[in-house]
Amino acid sequence: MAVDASALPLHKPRPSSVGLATLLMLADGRLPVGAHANSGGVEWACQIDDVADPEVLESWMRARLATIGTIDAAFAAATVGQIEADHDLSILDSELSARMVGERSRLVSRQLGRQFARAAHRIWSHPTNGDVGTPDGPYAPIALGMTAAVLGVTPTEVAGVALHHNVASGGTAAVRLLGLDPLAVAAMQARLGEAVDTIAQDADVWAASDPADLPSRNSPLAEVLAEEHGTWSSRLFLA
Amino acid sequence: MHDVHTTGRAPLTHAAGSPGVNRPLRLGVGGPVGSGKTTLVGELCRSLRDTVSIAVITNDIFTSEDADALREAEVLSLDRIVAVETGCCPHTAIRDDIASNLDAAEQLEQRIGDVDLTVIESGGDNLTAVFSQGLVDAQIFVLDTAGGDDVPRKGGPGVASADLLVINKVDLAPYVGSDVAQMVADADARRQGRPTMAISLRGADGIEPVAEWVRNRLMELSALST
Repeated sequence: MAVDASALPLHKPRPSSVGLATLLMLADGRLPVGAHANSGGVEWACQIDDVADPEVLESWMRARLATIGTIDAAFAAATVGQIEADHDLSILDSELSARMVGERSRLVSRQLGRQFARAAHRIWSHPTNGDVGTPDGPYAPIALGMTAAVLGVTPTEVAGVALHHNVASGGTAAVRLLGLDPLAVAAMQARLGEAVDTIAQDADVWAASDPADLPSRNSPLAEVLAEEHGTWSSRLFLA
Repeated sequence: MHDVHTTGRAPLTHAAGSPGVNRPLRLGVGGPVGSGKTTLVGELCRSLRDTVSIAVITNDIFTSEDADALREAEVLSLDRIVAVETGCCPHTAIRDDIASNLDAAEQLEQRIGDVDLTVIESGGDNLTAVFSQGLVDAQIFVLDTAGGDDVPRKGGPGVASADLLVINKVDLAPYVGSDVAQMVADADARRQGRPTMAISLRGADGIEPVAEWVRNRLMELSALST
């Protein structure tokens, strides 16, 4: 089932402080930040949760967007807000740890965050070193938010980018792992666009919110399975 | 636009860095599946480990197969070998998007502290797979004599541009009808003077010419940095 483009609402162009080309680069899965080796949980979902076709993948992806996807988007947007307010990011770091209790999830997010910060520094030469006062580097959504703040990307835009990566990583991994029809997966991604836009609408609220009040509904089962995935001897994806 | 405040700790290394100055020499070992990359890395470690501090990163298709093989062969202490995931695309991880390998190299080199040489072994891949200049300072491409003696003639970036081409398992040539002299000649025709070695890693001291080549790279580096 494809999305009927004629039924989509017409949006008026919205002012943005960042150039379109910069935003597109941030959203591009080919940005060399290591995303190609992250399935966003799809590898273990294929094996354990019986995700085997585009329909089940879509349901699974909606659940993902509602849980860790929303948390990622919220923390990316909140990072922009915290930096604008000149606040210390270590509080956000602690709040995200509290929402991501598995050791493996934390390790993976910090690795992705380091990779993003390292690349962003080379690409945009911004003055951050990706440091949030932790020895292992920033979590992935915080690293993304830090770059967004430096480049002038809005909270809504960076939340959208975080959600887009969530869907794109999972979709690409499913194509590689299961041999799914890439067009069926792209159609799934198009259908999820509305959910992505809806979730990102809260970004300005998150940017202004107390970090303790940010979304916290993670999936305990996903955390447990990510932990188990980390122990597999044959693993194709980081997570 | 906002500057992000930095605190305390030393920054992540963002630049590719300079070998021998702020990081070790990074050496890539690539080549098709089954050509002997893991054996070469293992033998190289055995030959150099008494005089050179070595770290190894493997990029296997399945995470830790090669790293496990190296650990089981006890060529280095376990904490000097790590495996990275390649998301089903080993060539992407060494060429197009080197982020996870760069991260693994920096983390490992920082943890060990005194590394002279970091060897990055690619997953078995096709003839177009080469290491990014952003990841390694030099690269070795390994071919299998029994993998078809027309491979050097076919060429491709690995055969043509690797700093050292190793044609391994020459002892198998009579059994599979491969013409080693022709393989070397075909390679020479494509490599613009870069060296090619025809060896058997399973033979006694089979690794020595390769180890000598690596020692020379390390010596060049220490000459540059002093």
